[in-house]
Amino acid sequence: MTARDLGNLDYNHIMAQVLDGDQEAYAVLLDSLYIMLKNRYLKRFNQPALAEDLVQEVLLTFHQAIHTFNPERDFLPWFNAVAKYKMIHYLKKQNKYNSVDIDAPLIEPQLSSPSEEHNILTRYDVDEAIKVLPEKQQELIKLVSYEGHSHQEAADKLGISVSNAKTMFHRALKKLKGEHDI
Amino acid sequence: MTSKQQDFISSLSKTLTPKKYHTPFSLHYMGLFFSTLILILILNLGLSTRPDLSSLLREGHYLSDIFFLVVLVFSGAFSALYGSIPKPVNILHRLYLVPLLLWVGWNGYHVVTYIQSHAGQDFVIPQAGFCTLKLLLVSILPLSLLVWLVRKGLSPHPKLGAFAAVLSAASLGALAVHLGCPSNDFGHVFLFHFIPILLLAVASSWFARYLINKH
Repeated sequence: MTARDLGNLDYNHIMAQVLDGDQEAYAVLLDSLYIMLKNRYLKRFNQPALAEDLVQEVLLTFHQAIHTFNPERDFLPWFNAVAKYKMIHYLKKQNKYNSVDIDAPLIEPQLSSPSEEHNILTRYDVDEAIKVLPEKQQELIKLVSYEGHSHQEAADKLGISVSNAKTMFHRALKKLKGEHDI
Repeated sequence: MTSKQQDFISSLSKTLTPKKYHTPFSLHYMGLFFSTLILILILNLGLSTRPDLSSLLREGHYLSDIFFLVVLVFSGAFSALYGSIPKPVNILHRLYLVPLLLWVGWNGYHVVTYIQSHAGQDFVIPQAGFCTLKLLLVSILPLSLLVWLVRKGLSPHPKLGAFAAVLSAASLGALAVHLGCPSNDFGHVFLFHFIPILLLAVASSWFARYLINKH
């Protein structure tokens, strides 16, 4: 699916097909929602692992709650309500509610070209990206960005001082930025 | 999109089946809800009513108690059901304040009046009887129905949803108790008919995860 396709999607029309059990239409809708949510959460949290988890959680909830969509109403406001509920619920569960600004305005994806969409999705494919880093920095990135540990906790696990962990983390990010032109 | 993400999407899309729009306010569900209310009240009237009920129903204070409980039943049920469908409304949670404020306002007014009218007298702890137990037993059926309906949706505020559902069901229990309990003492009515409504509702919000939230 290209960005142009995404912009032209008639969500209400697709949802009508989805409610009739059309699996192909559903796959197209999920593709579109996946990209939209991934972009939204990356822009908001700047934590790829968290964004990925959130997208999957929201889509699972959406899957279970499709029957609560009123076909006479607009799809996106309803979907955004489901997504917001699930995001807050998930962040509370992960104790990340206070560390992110959930009231920040929603930024809808503005994908100008298919290549931009591709870049956003692959750029943050951290598993691949952090292979350029030394092993200890990889560990640190995973602990802080994947598992949500604080610098103190990550430092304790790696057996280094907090200030060292912070420096190492920023160096790693700087190197990643340089390597991947982020 | 990675193959892992594609797999996730295809695993969801393959399990899609035709869906019918669910609204808890459909005629079908409302019929079920009102039938339950009527059934409980008829059963209760058949089993235990106070002998002076017909004369009490002509008295303002007794009628206002009944009216208060009926309003609590409906406002609680409405809040729980309306809130069980996601809506793009940021103030949805304020809906749940209606039954709570109603309870607080009503009982606050009557407690103050009661204290003023009993000023200078020794406080006697009212007899409990089986009122609270009966309230609990009567509440089970309407609560099960409400929870079943709320769980069919997706409640964005599960704790408030559980609170409202239990408040509604417990108010129906209190209504049934009120029609049968021979006591005219507000102290007894407050402690064993009205207080349990709020206590049960507040306690239920701690168990909302198990009661309401399945998503």
